Amino acid sequence: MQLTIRNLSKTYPNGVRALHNVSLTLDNGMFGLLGPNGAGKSSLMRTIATLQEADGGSVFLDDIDVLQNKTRVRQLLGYLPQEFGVYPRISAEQMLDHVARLKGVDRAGERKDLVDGLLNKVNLYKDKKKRLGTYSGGMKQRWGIAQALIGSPKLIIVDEPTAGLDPAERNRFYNLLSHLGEQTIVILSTHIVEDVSTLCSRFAIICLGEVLYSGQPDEAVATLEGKVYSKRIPRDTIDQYRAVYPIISTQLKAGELHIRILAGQAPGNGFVPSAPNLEDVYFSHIATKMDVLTI
Amino acid sequence: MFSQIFLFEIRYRLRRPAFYVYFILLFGFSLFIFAKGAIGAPEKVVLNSPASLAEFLAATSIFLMLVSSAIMGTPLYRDLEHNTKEYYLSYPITKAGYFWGRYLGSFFFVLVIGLGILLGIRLGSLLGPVFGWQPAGRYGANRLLYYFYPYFTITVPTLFFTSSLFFGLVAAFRNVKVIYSSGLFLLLGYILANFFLHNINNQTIIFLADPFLLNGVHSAQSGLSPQQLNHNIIPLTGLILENRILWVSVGAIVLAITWWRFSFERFFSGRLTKDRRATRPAPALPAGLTPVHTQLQGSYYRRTLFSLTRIELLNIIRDNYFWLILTGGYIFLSFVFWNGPHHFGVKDFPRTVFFVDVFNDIFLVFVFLIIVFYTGETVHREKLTGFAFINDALPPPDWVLNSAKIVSLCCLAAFLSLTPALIGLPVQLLRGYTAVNIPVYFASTFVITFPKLVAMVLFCYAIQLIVNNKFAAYGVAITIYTAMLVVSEFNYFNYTPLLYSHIPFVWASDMDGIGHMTRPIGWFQFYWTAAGLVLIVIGSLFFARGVPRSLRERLRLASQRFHGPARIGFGALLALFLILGGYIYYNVSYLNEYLTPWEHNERNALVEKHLKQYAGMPLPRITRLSMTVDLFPGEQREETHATLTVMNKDHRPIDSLLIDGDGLDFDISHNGAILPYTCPLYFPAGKFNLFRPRKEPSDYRLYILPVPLQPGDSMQFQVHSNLAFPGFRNSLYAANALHNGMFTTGNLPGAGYDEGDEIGNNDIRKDHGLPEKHAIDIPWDDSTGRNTLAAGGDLISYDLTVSTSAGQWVQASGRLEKEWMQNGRHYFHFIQDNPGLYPPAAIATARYARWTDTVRLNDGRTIQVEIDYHPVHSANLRRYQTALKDGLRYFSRAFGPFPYDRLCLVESSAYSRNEISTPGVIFISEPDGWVADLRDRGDFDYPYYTAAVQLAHQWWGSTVIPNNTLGAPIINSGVPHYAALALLARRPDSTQVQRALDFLNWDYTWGHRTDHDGERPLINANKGYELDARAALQLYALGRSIGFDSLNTALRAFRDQWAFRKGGPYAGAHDLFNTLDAHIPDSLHTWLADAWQKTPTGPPTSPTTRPAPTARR
Repeated sequence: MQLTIRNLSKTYPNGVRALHNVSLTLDNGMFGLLGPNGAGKSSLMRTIATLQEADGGSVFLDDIDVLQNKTRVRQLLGYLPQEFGVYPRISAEQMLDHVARLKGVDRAGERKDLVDGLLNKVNLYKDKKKRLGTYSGGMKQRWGIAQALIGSPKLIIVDEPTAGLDPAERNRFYNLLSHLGEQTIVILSTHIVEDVSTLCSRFAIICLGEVLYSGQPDEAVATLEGKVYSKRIPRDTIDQYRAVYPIISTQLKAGELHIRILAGQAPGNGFVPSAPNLEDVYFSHIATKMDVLTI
Repeated sequence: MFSQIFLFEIRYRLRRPAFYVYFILLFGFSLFIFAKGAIGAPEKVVLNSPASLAEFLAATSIFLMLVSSAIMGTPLYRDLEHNTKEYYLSYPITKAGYFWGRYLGSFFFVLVIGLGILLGIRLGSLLGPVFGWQPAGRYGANRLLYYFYPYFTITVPTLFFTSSLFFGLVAAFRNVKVIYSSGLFLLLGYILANFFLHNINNQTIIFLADPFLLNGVHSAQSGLSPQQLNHNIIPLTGLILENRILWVSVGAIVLAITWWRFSFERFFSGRLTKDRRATRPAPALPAGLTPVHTQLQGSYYRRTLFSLTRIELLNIIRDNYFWLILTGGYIFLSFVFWNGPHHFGVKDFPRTVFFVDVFNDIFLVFVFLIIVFYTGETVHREKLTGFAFINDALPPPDWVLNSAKIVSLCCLAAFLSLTPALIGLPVQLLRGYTAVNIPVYFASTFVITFPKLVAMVLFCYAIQLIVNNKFAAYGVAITIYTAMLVVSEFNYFNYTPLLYSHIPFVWASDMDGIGHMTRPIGWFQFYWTAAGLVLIVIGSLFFARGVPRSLRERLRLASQRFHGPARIGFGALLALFLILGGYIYYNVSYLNEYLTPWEHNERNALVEKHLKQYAGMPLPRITRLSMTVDLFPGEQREETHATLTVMNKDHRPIDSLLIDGDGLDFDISHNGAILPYTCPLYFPAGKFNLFRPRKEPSDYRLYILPVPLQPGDSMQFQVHSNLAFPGFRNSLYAANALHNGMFTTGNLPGAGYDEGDEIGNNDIRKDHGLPEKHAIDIPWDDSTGRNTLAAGGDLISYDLTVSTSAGQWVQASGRLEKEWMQNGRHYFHFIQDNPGLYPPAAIATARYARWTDTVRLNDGRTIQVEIDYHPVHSANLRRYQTALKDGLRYFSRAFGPFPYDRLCLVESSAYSRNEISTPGVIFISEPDGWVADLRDRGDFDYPYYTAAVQLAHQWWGSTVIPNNTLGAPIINSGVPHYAALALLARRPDSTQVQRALDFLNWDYTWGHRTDHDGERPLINANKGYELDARAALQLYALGRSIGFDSLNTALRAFRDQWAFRKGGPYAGAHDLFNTLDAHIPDSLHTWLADAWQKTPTGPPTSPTTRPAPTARR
């Protein structure tokens, strides 16, 4: 399947421009959305997930008009919002069974296998009879993942899914997602650049509602080949460097500041060439829109 | 620290629209009520009297409780809801500063909102006269004391209590639902006090159970004179003070405990849930998902609907607060059901009809609030739990999501409508009562309660969707519901088709179930369901799925959604609603006339203005009446063919007659020719009856007699009348034309202008341009008064043929000449010609069980005795049998022969609600002694007593009939009560007569206390408590002194002198006094004269100065 987003725009009543002429084309596989807080990632995902209207533009899932034919999209969708709650008095299994029914899994035996399988996959099988109100944050998040995967969705949208998961759980989940990504479109938003580089076949950088870049992680990194230089500097000299060099990131290590800059040719002045990574790509794009200095 | 938090709270509140909404709502409501005079103050009590203000402030404090729950519940909960705990815990805030700052900051606003009421009253009492809504004279002085005294003694303590309670509960339970439950419990306290106020007079419960003091205020002010009500404030003493101390203390204790136990850490952290399983090793790496078969068409919707409904119901029933609220309500209801109504201190049997009536009458408010709360919870459940984003991205279309919620709430409604049976059946079985009326449970549940609750669900649901804010929607729903309740309860506006979810009034009875009212109620229920569905369609246009949206966005969405199925559905439902509405309108306002309460009064006023000129017209008296009455109980139709012989007993010739048709379709003929008539008065059409003629003829007709009827001459007329009830009406109608238990006097039109029909309330008279009216005392020696009967009419010779449907039996005055079946109908022929009877005579038909016997009297005559009763009501049959037999024997020996050949005691319908004695036939209504639970041997045998009083009426009221002068009604009220006392005194168990005396004493004391005109000498008595209780006690005291036999001898002489007079003069109070005076020893003349002719200074006493037994009840 293919998801085509054309010139999508959305401005909230309080004047915040959440999306501005967003255009993206997504095929099967995992697609990463990178961006700072408030970039519009969640707005974009919620719009695709039929939860809010757009002011302009279009979204098509193959030939389904996502903005108009919401019910059809919901039938193909698996969605895990960034923040969500549960009915506290219903058990995990009962609730998952309920969601499966709503997603059209109508054969009781099949549904039971599905629910059990999912609970197993997210490591909640032993707690399936417990009421969701007694679940911890991590357990709840895993339950959320399970519900998003019910009913063979063709489009999976997960908004910062690994928040609250420990590293082991996170790996399990990513493995599961990559597996699914072979036959489905998976949209994943995250703050963690590394996740995108290891998992996603394609990604986009969004900032202040605009798509700053979209493409494959490897290609993106390749564009910066030979352009990234780094240097250790004393902390109090940062302002001088800032005035001269396009700093894309800073890192404080043991009292010394490591800075990375973007340069067409070797800048000298003690800067050494450095192998570019996806984080450089990210910061170099974000830096065009906002101050990325973290110190 | 305190001041900062306090000021933060103040600033926060000032930014919230809710504060202004509540303030303006209460202000506007108070202004409206006081400007329009809708407070319902009695005549001569000014609208802004301290009494009205106290009552109004107590009533509005119930509404303020809701306001305080909304305001006091949030200051702490807000921090939980918005998850501000992280930084609150890290700030240097003191516990005291936080706690008291939040509490006082919010409480301050509750008090300010309360002041809106005072402001509204003040402005209302100013604007009322300015806009001419109420005359200036209806308002008294606006003294600050009258405003602020009740504010500080009623409103503020109540608000302190409710505010502290709600604040404390949220702090303790960290949950807002605890507020619903506690708020509902407080309301139950009020309802309980209210129930006791109207059923069992237990002062302690009335005053103390009600935290709003409304029933206390009501009770404390009842019986006060207008003068007192206009000037006195309620003293803060006794039970009133105890109530205030009680509830303020409860509030203070709750607050103190909350403060003592309050800790930031515990409050913010709540119950800790640890992820204890985090260390468990993960199972093997998951593979991908096996594809599953999905089905999203066809049966999908049904299955989804089912699954959603199930989950929603689980959400409701797994909520502890739901059970808490329900248990509270059920305990309350069990208590009320268990105790039931009392008469003479004796419980009724726990009857199904009482359960369903009391449930539908007083408990539905409680149920409505449960529905209001749970509709809000259900509509917003996803948003409140945070599940919305997942849920809203799932495939089910909007209509399925909404339908599932509505169906769940309807299941809740169905469960709640089973409440009377759920509580009632165990109560009935535990009290050993097996005459369970299953059909009434069934009818009440499915015809009245359930559809009504469904209408409430739809209404609340639509409001939640449209308002889209849980608490604001509560406010809107409760306000609209209360407003409709208030305007209809105070009879301000009662057009049922415009009062959402209101239905015509009905009493359930064992004899007739809900009878003929089933049909109109059914139509109204369909109508309201259609209205509710229309509301739902409108609401669903505003349904917000996904992210919260601005109002403008929702409006845009709504207009986008209003196409295709939504438009067709809306159109279809609107059409259905309008068709049903049209049919109801056709019945209520076209087939029948609907008049507003004002129009009713206006018509009465027009009658008085235009027809009072006929008041002095001479009227012929009926001397012979022969009629055939055909009763059709199933069709609520009655047809009468009567031949009347009338005589002119006046000294003037009679050439014309004013006839009052009283809703009958009739004509009058003379010598086979229908007499022509003119209509002397037309009314303007009621403003709700658009398609009826603009001028409606009144029921009055003016006939010119073919030949004037000269004094002493007689004439014969034929009257043919039809009583029918086409369609149905705005509320209860045809209460006497029941399917089982029809009751009629024969449907003859009345003659002459009846001053008794004039409006009595002088405030209303003034509104309609009528002069003030005061009761006119007709002195004992007034010759017209002495020559006419108080009840009108004269002794007539009576011949009656009645037919009814096959399965029913008829009872009427006269000896039963013949009873036969003909053409599938049951016929009865009664004759009462010697000595004849004084009207009114009554006819009853029902499916009776009959008990018959004969009583041989000591004069050798044998009297037929019969009791006709509803087959289920046989428990006290023996008591009635004994009363009739004992009474017949004793009274005929004491007061002269029983005047008729037979005596019947007949059970009449629940709508008649008292006892009636007609010649030879006594009617006692269903809820009276028939259903008294007298299995406890020590109880007062009041069926015996009340039957004895009615039986004594056969002598005192049917044989000797009072004239139309002051004090004369002693003859048919005080004397029969005395006779019953004398009969009771003969019973071996002396406590029986003592109880009857206690109740009469209580009636007398109560009457005396609440009599603002002052008690009169007995011989001039004109008020109920003087005429029966005082007269009976006075006679009893005399009997105790001179011996009952001696007193009876005097009464017998009186009877012999005045029995069955065919013309005036008739007996009056002086005649009775003179007879008594002539029969007592000389030593008692002064005492008797004092007792009868002097203004009494205390309760009746016997000549030995022994005081009569004191009041005890």
